[in-house]
Amino acid sequence: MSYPSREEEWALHDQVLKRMPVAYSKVFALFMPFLLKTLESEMRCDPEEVRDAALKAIFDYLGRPETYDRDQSLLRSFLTLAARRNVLDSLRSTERRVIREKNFADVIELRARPPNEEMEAAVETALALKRLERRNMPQEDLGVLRLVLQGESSTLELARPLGKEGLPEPERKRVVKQNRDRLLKQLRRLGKEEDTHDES
Amino acid sequence: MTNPDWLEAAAERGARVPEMLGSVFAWYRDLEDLSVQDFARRLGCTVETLYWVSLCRKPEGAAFSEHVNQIADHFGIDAFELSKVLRDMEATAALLATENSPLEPEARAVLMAALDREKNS
Repeated sequence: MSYPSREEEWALHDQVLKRMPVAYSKVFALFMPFLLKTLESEMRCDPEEVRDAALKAIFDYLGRPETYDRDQSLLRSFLTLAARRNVLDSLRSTERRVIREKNFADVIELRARPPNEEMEAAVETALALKRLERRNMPQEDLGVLRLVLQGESSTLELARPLGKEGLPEPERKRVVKQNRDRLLKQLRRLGKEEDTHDES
Repeated sequence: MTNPDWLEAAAERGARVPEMLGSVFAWYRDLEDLSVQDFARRLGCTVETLYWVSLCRKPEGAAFSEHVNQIADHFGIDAFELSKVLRDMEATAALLATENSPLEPEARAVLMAALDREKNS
């Protein structure tokens, strides 16, 4: 592959500035091989992505050839820089799309349990609550635990069985946390006791 | 003319850029219901050459004939056919513009007749 000389580049750029039709086609013939070779060796990405980035750089230049200042750089450097930027933009946009899709998938996964898991969780919750009821646990505590076991995390909802929903938010949060921690500790203790009973 | 693997993609992209010859060719092919091969045959060239020609700027204004001849000489295509296609599409664009404007029916009829004469010549 032979690179155009500085004089050839200038002559071609002048023709493009004069809107001479054939010059446009010559720009592709002259610079596409150079851009593809440079980008493919520099950037680890899909050849199609490289091709599109290079084409975009040339079409953008042909759309506004005045943006190139021949005193600043060679035309091939100008186009390479633009194409490299296009590759990076495309990579960034792909990256953003992947993150967006992953976040979306995570939310779906969190919100929608598979039907079999949902049923298992409901059965386990019902069994655990029956055991707790047998232990004469106060109704307020049972109400909170029922909600916790169902996956409820809103402090306002958890405050209702305790009759504390009317408290100011910071206070409500503190009371709910305190009661939830206490009840979970009791649950753990209960679980250990049940295990010991099962083993004996 | 070489036939690099990016050429077709470049021509396709060029067909969406109004300043490029490819956009006129795409419109013409669409109106005339012509395949790429048929259109290349009409211009007296291969499909690959047609792609290269598509990447030229559209000839316009006072230098129209000069530019058409430059393209034809450079790519070895039929200058007369190229000129006819471009004039035809210019007339079609003008007609479309007048259809959307409050032009008198007589004036529109004159334009239509001119377009028909151009097509049949």
